Amino acid sequence: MEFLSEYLTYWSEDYSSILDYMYEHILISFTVIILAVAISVPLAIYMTKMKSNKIKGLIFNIANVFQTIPTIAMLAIMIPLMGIGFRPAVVALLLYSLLPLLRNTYSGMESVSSEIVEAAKGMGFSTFQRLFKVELPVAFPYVMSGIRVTAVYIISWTTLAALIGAGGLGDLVLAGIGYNDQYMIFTGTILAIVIAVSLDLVLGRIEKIVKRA
Amino acid sequence: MNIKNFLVVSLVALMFLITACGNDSSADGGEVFTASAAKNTDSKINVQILKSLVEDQTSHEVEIVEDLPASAQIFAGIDREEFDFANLFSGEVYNNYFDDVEYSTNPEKTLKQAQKFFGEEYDIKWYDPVGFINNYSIAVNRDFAEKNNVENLTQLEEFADEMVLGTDNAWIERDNDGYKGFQETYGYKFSEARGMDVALMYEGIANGDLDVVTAYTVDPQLKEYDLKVLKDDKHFFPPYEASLVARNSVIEEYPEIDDIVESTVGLISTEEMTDLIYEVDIEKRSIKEVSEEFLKEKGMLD
Amino acid sequence: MIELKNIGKTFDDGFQALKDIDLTFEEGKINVLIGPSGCGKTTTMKLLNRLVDYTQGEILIDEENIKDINPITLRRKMGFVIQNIGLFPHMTIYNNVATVPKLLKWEKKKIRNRVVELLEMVNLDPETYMLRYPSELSGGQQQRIGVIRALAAEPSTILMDEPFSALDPISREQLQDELLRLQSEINKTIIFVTHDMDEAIKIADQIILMKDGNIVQKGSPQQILENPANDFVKDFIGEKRLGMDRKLPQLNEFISKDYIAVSDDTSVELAMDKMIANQIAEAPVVKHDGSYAGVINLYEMLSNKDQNLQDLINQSSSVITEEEETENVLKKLDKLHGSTPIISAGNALVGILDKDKLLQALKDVTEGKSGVA
Repeated sequence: MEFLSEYLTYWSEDYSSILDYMYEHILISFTVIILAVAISVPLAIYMTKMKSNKIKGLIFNIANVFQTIPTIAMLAIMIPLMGIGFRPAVVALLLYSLLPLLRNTYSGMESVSSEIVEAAKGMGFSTFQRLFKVELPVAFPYVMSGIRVTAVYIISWTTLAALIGAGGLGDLVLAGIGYNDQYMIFTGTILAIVIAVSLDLVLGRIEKIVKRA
Repeated sequence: MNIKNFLVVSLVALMFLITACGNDSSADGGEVFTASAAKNTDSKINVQILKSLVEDQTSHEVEIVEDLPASAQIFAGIDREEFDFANLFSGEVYNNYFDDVEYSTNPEKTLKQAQKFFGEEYDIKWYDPVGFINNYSIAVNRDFAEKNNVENLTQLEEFADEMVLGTDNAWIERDNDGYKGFQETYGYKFSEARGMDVALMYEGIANGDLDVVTAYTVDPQLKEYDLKVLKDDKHFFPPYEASLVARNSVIEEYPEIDDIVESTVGLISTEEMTDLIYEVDIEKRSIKEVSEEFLKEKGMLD
Repeated sequence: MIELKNIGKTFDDGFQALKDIDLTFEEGKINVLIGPSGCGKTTTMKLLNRLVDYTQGEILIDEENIKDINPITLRRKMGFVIQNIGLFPHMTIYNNVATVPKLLKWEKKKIRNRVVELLEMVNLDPETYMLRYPSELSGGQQQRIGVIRALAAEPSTILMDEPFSALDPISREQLQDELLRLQSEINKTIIFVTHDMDEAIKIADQIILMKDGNIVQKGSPQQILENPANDFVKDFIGEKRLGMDRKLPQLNEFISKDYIAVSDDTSVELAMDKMIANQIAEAPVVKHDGSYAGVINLYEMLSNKDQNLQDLINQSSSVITEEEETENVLKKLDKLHGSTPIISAGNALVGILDKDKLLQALKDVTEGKSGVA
């Protein structure tokens, strides 16, 4: 009980800065998610139509390389290119999120059985009609689950933005570690989880609505 | 399970066994102690010096566990008797550990409080300072300082509202010695304050994205990037004097070690430590090599 | 009518899938393409809606070259039922069936009426099934939907790529029956690919048997069963089916030329001597021009020796005409006696029935049947 009242005191004293961190976190992670989806999903769809396995492999390898770059190195590379703050944080996180999104979307599209594709073709769908009326709707649950998983990753990774001066809940966690303040660590972690879970719920709801339509 | 996996698993199991047993026998039949240090190079050098001295003068061995994220983790390890020694700083006493500690920027008083509070809480001996101080400080580009004739933090005020501050993630949130306290003491703030990784903070000022940074007084990057530490003319920053600490039960059982640690008191000045860190971080030499070279210079090692 | 002229197909990797195919698919018939896997049957079918393009020859649909027809338009004019049903899992049954009409931008009301009509055609209650998703239906029901989806836009041609092969035997039988029933109402040109000979025999008007990119034999099921072109066809059809469908030989196999006939102008006494010498009780009588007059009985003559032979001829005794089906003869076999005369259409006596031989043939056929059961 003492813990709870102390914790509530911490909130009542610091809530405005906590909300600031949360706002920054949401701003960064949502920007990354939207950009990542806007880039990866069309790219992955295009890749499923690509004949050359070489180019496909190349794209996957590039995305793979981005993922293996250690965070701090990635951020250090970003500074001379983009400075500090929001922009380099978004770009770095974007590079990290390419691979999981590409992979998930690609395999989602590949999961559409060849029979269905052939049926659609044989019934006289044009390429675009086939993509939008058959392949994408059928692959949608897979693509969506890829987006949902990656979105949760991104929200967790966004704590790294604190390393490059972009703020976010990572700031709170790192400050808590540096300053020996459990409340900060706890709050930063919990809020990141809350954002991730809420976003997942919202995306789940969107998925249902789209499916029904 | 293939052989490789088996080896990895056995290795991990072995490591657990070793750490779990704690004080194992050394090659010379002595004890094996554990010393811990945080991420900063000065801490690592200081425990390496302890290790070199102990291993030179006794049959004991010292293992170093380094890169702990902050002092809280070191204290947790001491509490569980996993760490026998550590490098710590007096100013830590103000970091949320104790409710009844009295905030002060007086080095004497800070040290006394650290020795008393931490000593009692964790049953450790907090030795007198090694000599170097790793305070927070405020640094700007030397060019800027010279051009505008800025020597101390009071003089920085007239430029502050156009300057972007880069700092570690904790400083903005600290109560007494953080940004809030700074604003109260000096009466001004910067146009923007961004928390970030310390290594990237220096990249940022070198790159021109930042104008002011909260440096640590021993950071070799101050030298590397030609930064000037401004004088804390209102004595805002609390002193962070480095000390070695040891668990009481260890030095009671092995008094010879107590003597060795005592011999490090006053051994390294802040300038000397900055040079040592420069050798390690910038010249990329090994901590062991740099530390032992230093000890030889001081005549403490053959 | 769809005509394939000298069609060849060589894939990019050099594999020659079809070699010089000449083929006509008749209007309103079920044409079954059959053969072992890799024979080119599916490729041949997919040429028709240009899912595969040929590399040699030409295809005419109602005299129009297929290459002059936009593939999308072409496909919308042809029904297409694929192997593993291929219903769109994200669409309701209604939307699945309505796919092509929607692509053709039919009016909503017309589409709805058509879907209802089709569902009723395959005995699926529209109210119950229209809004369900494919996964909520049994395999048999799903393929019924697959079939009516192909019929939706009233195409004149329907392509069916092993449509029933994934179904259990009972559903498969039912769907085959339904297809035949439907076809009797709709009379489409159906091109049906299968590897199942039983299925082909059951539903086909024309069977096209393929091997290694060539047509080995084509014809009605009857023709192929009765006259397999070579050993491959025999093997493919299988001993079992050849046995099952083996017909009794034609009647002329059972005509015995080795008989004693009596001329109608001989005396009774001479006739009697001849019959006694040959140990027969009855003999056919022929007129001097060779035409059949009737039969004469030895016992009849014995009690009427003084009468004229012509008066003793039994004209109402049963005869068999030469053209009669063997099976027909078999049916009235118990009413026939040993040496029933067989006469030609011109009433000439051609021989007598060899009853023993016929019974032996019947025995062979029935044994052949039970032998494989």
